[in-house]
Amino acid sequence: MTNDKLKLQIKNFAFCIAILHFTFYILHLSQAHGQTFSLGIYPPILEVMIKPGKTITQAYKVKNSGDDLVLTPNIVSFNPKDELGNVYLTRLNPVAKNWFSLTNANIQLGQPFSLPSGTSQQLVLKIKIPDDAIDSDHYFSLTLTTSPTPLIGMTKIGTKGVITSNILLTISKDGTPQRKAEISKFSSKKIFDSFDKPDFDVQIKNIGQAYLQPQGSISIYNTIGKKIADLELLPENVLVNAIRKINCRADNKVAPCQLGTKFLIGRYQAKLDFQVDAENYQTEITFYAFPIKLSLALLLTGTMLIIILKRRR
Amino acid sequence: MTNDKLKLQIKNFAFCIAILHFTFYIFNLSAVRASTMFSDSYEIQMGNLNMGAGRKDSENYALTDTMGQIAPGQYGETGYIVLAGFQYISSIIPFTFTISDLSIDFGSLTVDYFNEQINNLTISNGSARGYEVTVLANKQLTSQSASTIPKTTCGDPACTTSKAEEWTSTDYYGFGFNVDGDEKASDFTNSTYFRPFPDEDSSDSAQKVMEGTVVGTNKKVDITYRINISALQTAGDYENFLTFTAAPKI
Repeated sequence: MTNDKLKLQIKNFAFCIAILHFTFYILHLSQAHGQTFSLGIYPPILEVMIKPGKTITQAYKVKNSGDDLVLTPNIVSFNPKDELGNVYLTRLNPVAKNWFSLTNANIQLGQPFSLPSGTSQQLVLKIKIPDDAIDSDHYFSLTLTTSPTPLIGMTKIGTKGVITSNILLTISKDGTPQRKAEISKFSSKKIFDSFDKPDFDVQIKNIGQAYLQPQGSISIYNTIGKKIADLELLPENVLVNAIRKINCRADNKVAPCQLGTKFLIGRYQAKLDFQVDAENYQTEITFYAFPIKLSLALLLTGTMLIIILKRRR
Repeated sequence: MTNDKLKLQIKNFAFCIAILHFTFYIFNLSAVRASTMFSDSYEIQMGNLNMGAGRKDSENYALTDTMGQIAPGQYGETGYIVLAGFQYISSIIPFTFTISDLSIDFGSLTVDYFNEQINNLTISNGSARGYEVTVLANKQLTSQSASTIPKTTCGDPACTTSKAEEWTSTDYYGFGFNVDGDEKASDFTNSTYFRPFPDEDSSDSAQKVMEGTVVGTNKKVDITYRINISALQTAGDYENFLTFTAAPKI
């Protein structure tokens, strides 16, 4: 190999390395330019019962795990959206216009602030209820909204992220608001297969003056009246004038109200029993379990056997 | 072995050792960083400043904010009861929402062709009972000359802002999106199902794109944005803004 050839090869190699470095540099730049929004907030819910004329403060931890952000904190009202606990954000109820503020020295509601990448910020929300506020429930959300990134170029779509934390506020002079429920639905299929897991649909309506959390269970009794299972209701929030589908708790986890694997046969009774404050609510339904699939399988097998035996004769 | 060769080998060995040390140094730095991150593992949050209640958390345990809270009987004296966080969930994981890219660039659009871009949404609702993510545009895709790329109708049957339908033919023009992932809205049956974006100008309400009912982390969906224009579409730079809102269930 001549010296010239060797030099050429070294030059080519150096050129390739330079191209590779340049490519990585460009890729790195592209990643840096694709702005990511990643924001966390704690707590996700705040429950407050308060007397008129009183003030409380609550600290929220906001963490930016994405790129540098400009965020605007705000308070809006919400209404229950469905029976699953989702919320529908609306404009702030004018009644509550002056109830909220932030005690942070340099951050105010409605004013943007910077939150650099990888940092956290504590927002201290002050809720001051006026002396003349009447006993009632109010539902709010603390929202944090990103400022939109400028759009440059041809057809482009900008996205903004909003994260919320809900506030359930009960104003009560004596601390004993009227909490009243109504069983809106308690049902299951009438007939189950013995190998199925019977499930129950529980829906509770709040007909009182303050949000409530039902505490209770569904008890399952067999034909001879012996209790075979208890399904613990999850104490979910049911807002005033709203219906909420209630889930159950199994092994410390949210779960559908469903019996575990058991072979059931005969007539069963499911009793829904829960408490709201000191008042008890009860109702019951009946369902039946039969080995339908097993019977069909046996019937089919028997029929086939008879046919085979008849043919042999 | 000559002296020169020996020296070269020693040099190589020293170089390897140096590289190894450098590697360990880098890894060690990472470990220290992780440790710093996990220094969150013991955290005293004075959540409610009025009464000195708070959370005492680590990776292995969490005392809820009820600790130190005022019993209902004391309401008469203090005038408030405050509970922060779901009382039946012991978790220090913040309710976190991630959008992978805040700017979707389509560049120059091709006529009679599905121009597509993707970004993704991720939710961690370790401390929240469940969540919903909704979307609302400020307006239709609009150019500086006020021309618009219409909302897609997908096909026959037509899709709406609240009901996805199949969009497989380039005979149908417009702008729409598909959602695919663990906890997508249920009407996005598969990757061919699309919806147009609801927008404020049309007085639409925000629509669900993602929903979860149980506690979990890193739940992710892909959003595919699709634009199909005809040759008659007025030339221009079209843009709009989408607002994705992540709200915990109550």
